[in-house]
Formats: sequence, C-alpha cells, structure tokens
Amino acid sequence: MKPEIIIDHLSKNFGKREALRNVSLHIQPGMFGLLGRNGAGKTTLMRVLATLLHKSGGSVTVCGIPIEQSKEVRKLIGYLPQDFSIYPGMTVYAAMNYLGILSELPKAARKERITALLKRVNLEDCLNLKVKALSGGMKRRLGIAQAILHDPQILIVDEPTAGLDPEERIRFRDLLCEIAENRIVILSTHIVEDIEKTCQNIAVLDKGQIIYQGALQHFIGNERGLEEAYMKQMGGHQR
Amino acid sequence: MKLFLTECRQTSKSMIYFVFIGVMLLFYFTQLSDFAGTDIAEVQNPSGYNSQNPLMKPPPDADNYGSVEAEIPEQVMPAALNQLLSEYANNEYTTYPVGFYKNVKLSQKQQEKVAAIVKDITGQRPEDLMNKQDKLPILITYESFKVKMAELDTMLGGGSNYEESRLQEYGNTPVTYEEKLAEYHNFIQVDQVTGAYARYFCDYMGIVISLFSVFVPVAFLIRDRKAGVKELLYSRKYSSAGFILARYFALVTMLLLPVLLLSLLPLTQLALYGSKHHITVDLWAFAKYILAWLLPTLMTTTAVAFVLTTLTDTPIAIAVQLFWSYTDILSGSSYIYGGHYGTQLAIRHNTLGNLQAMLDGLPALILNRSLYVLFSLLLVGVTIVLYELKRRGKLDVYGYFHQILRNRKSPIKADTMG
Repeated sequence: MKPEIIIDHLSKNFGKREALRNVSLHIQPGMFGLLGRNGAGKTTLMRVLATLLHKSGGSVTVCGIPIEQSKEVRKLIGYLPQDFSIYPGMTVYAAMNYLGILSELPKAARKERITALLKRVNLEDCLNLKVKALSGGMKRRLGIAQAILHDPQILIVDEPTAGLDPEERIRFRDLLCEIAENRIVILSTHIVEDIEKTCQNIAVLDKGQIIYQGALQHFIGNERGLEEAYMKQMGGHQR
Repeated sequence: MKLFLTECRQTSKSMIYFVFIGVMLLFYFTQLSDFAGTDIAEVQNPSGYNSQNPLMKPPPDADNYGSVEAEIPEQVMPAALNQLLSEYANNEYTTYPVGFYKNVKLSQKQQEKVAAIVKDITGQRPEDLMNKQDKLPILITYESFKVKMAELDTMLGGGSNYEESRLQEYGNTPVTYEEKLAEYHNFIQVDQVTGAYARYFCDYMGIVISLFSVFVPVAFLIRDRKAGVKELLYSRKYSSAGFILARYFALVTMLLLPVLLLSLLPLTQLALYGSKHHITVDLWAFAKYILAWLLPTLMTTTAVAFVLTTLTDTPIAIAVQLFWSYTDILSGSSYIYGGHYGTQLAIRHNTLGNLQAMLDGLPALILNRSLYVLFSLLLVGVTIVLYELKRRGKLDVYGYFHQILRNRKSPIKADTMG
C-alpha cells in the first residue's frame, strides 16, 4: 500500500462558518509542511485527516482508503494533537502500554516497540517516571513516540514545537525528519522556520483555502528565505 | 480482556475508589456492625429467648415470639384514622403514586371532602377529634370504612397510606409458637442460615451502591476531559464498543469486589458457627444475593454515569443518580421488610426474617431485577453510539455549551478553526 493522501475539494463548515473551502492536496512520502496563520484552518484539516472531524463536502482518501472508513484509516495514522497530554499520574511506560493496547498491539510487540521507541526519543531512562514529572520537551517527545507506536504510514503532528526552547526544537525537528524517511509526516505549524528546515513540499492555508501547494524551493523563489516569501504571499500581513 | 484488566488496574489506583470503599466500610460498621457475630454470641451465652435472633430455636414455653402485620379491623380503623387526622391537620399527605415519594397538599375544597369522610366515619369533624385520639368513635362497618379509604386514596392520587393493600400495616397479631418454629425451620433448611443474613447485608449495601457508587465512574470518565486525552484516545484503532464495554465491566467489577470481600466477614463467622453446631450453611448465599440483588442496581447506576458523562462530559450524572436514589429510598421506606418490589432500584429487606414475603414476591423481584439489567445494557448501548459519534466529531455537547459561554464572554476570541 503506497503511502499517499489525496484530498479533493474538501470543505468543512461549523454552522454557517466555512473552516475549509475546496481544499485539494496530494501528499506523498516525506515531510510535508502545512503553513498558515492562527485560525487559517490547519487544525481543522489535521483533525479531519485524523478522523476526529467529519467533513462537510469533497473527498479524502488515505492510502486508497476513503476517510469514512475510519477504523481502517486509524490503523494507518499516528496523531500528535496540538496540546498533547496523557494521564499525569501514569508512568511513561504505563501510558505507552495503555495506548498500545488501544492500538491493538500484541503484548510482545508492545513491549519491544515501547522500549525501542522510548530509546529513540531519548526517554529510555524515564520508563518509571510519572508523566506529570516530564518537562515540556520530554512530553512532546513522548507524544511522538506514542504517535508512531503502531508503526503508522502517516504521522500527523499539529504545532509540535510551540513552547519549546530552541535546542529542544532542533532536536524535535531532527526526530521528525528521521521518522519521515519511510512515511508521510504532515507538520502543521505557524512557525515558518520549522517548515523551512524540514519540509520538501508545503501547502499554505489562509482563511480555509489553499493559496499555494508545491515544492518549498519554488515557493521561496528569489526571496531570501521562506519567511520573506511567506510574508510577501500573505500580503505583508502579520502572522 | 487486556483492556478490561488495564481499566480495572486504573480504577484501583483512583482516590475516589478508595473513598467509596471507605464510605462502604463506614456504613457497614456503623449500621450493621457485627450483626452476625452478635447473634452468634447471644446463642452461645443466652440470657433468655430473643425472638429477633433467628439462630435461636424457639422454646415451646416462651413469653413472646414477636408479632406480624395483620388486617384486624378493630386495630386498623382507629390507627388509620389517627394517621389521617395527623395528615389532615398538617395538610401533608404522604403518597407513593408510581413507587416514588410524593407529598400531596390538598386544596381547601378537597380538605373539606376529607373532613366529610372523617365525619361519615365518626360522626364528628376532624377538628373535634384532635383530643380524642385514644377513643375515636367509629360508626361504620369495616367494609364501609374500606370504601371510604379507597375514596380518599383516589382523591390523593393513589399510593397513599389508605390504599387497600396497605391497611393491614395498621394492625398486628402475635406470632404463635408453631409459626415461629416453622420460621426457624425455614431459616435452617431453606435459607441455610446465611441466606437470611445475606438479604439483610444486601439491604444495607444496596443503599450504599445506589447512593454512592455513581461517583466512581463519573470521576473515572471525566478525567479523560480533564487530562486532555480525548483526541488521543479517539484516534486509536480500537472499536468504540470494545472500549466502552471494557471500561463499563471493569468499573462494575471493581465496585462489586469490595462488597464481595466484605461479605466474607459475616460469612466466615456463620460458617464457623455452622460447623461447630453441625448446621449446614450455604457458603454461596452471600455471593448469590450480591449478584442477583446488588449487581442490577450497580449496573444501572454505572450505566447512568456512563451515558450522561459521555454525553455531557460533566458530573451531571451524580445529581441525577442522587435524586433518583433518594426518591427511591424514600419510596421504599414503606416496604423496608421486603415483599414489595415494583420499580425499586435498591431492594429492601431490613430484617433477618420475612423469608415468606420474599418468596411470595419472587416473580415481581425477578422481573424488577431483570428489567434493571436490560435497562442498564440499553444505556450502555446508547453510550457506545454516543461515543462513536463523538469520535467522529459529530457530537460535542460540552464543546457546544462551552463555545456559547465563550462567545458570551468574549465574542472576538471565539474561534474553533485552529
């Protein structure tokens, strides 16, 4: 099954308000950046892809499976929500184990993958630490580990670096790039630098509509960087 | 199964669960105390025959074997009339029209009708009888009295203290030696000692479960919202039905477990007593009564918690369940010795005797318990549907009202688009 997402004329309304309007995207393996100011509709799009919101119109297929087949789609998707948190009184291992059970992973696979993933995100020494004792960065890394616990073909991360210090942000971006080697990683953020450093392909969302999609380099064109290109595209509006 | 065990473990680590166990123990030791042990001690060191102690075999020459309700017109008419005079004076009539407590207040015109009924029975107005309560004149036959009481009951909306089936509560007759001996034989042979104690135990535990068990599932479910893990859980692969059923049965099991463990205390005492005196004791009686009487109550309170907490993400189920349980216990207060079951959520049997009343009401009891089990499973089914709708983003009652409140406070900031 080829990892790809095809979004065709997707729309999502909240009452009379259009949160997404005629969004069409074709996302292929690698890091894909979704850029837009706060309120542009990024989280809505992420939540539709994660089967947490039903669409109002259009179609979405994930690896050839229509999004309406939510159970099948959930097998393929790992999701790190914007405000990731887990029961604070649980230990790191217990939290991962619980989410592993909910992903229907067998016991042996759970044990093996939890150990390997916590090592990969540098939390191998925190197995018995309670979640509430983790720092913001550690919690975000735990979030990534839980999102890829069931080895999904697609990883959706929503504003993952907000609130992290610069060092932790760089480490987090490197981790995402590593993960994206053999799957789709959709990075939704309003932080231009995160996209510039990690993504080959991007889409820019504004007021629920796609105003650009394609290669990052093409978007930058002759400008000095993504930030400048983005500001120009948005008409100099404040992000 | 793995999820079920994990949820059981999660429940066992919650503070509210231990508070529930604490309340249960407090209720047991303050209300029931050492109920089996006291009876055993009295049998082993008797200071005479006590008709209240079922372990004591009645001797043929005892002074008193207790008493039972009986429809004796000479007792019923003055006692019922006294009750009526008291309720008339306060204009507060206690009724249980559909099994639930209701305080009826009559209009002046209706009060006049009550006064007319009293005058038909006694020849005097209620106001003239207030100081003659020891010697009320009764001018009509018992049959006519019953007709008047039925008329009064209809005016009060039914289920009053004057309902024909309840008139016998105003009279009582002494128990004979033969009747007491037959009761003792039932206690030894049918109940096999522990059956009677199990019913008494379940009477008290039913109140605890009905009133307090709802706090545990509500706290358990609401922590998903508080911990902000709902989206994380929704996006996993598991089925909604499997998830809700695992959580539901884990909570029911964990809430029933301390009751089962506590029942081992009287069971052990009675089993040792039986073995010492060569009396056969039913070792499974407590488990049987707990499963048949208490489990449906617990399944219902837990299901109410599940459906309302899943729908609203608020603790509203606690208020709903407390109101229901309170009115249920009030309505059951007229039948605390068993035999009347109707729609009662917490089954009452606040006596070690009265086995026959339970046997007489067995079909109604079975129907009551079966309907509560079916009702709770129906609520769990509704919960599964609600949860699936929430997972797909098609239902968010809490978010809807939260958004309305936010819009009222700050219309500019309100935005869900992300």
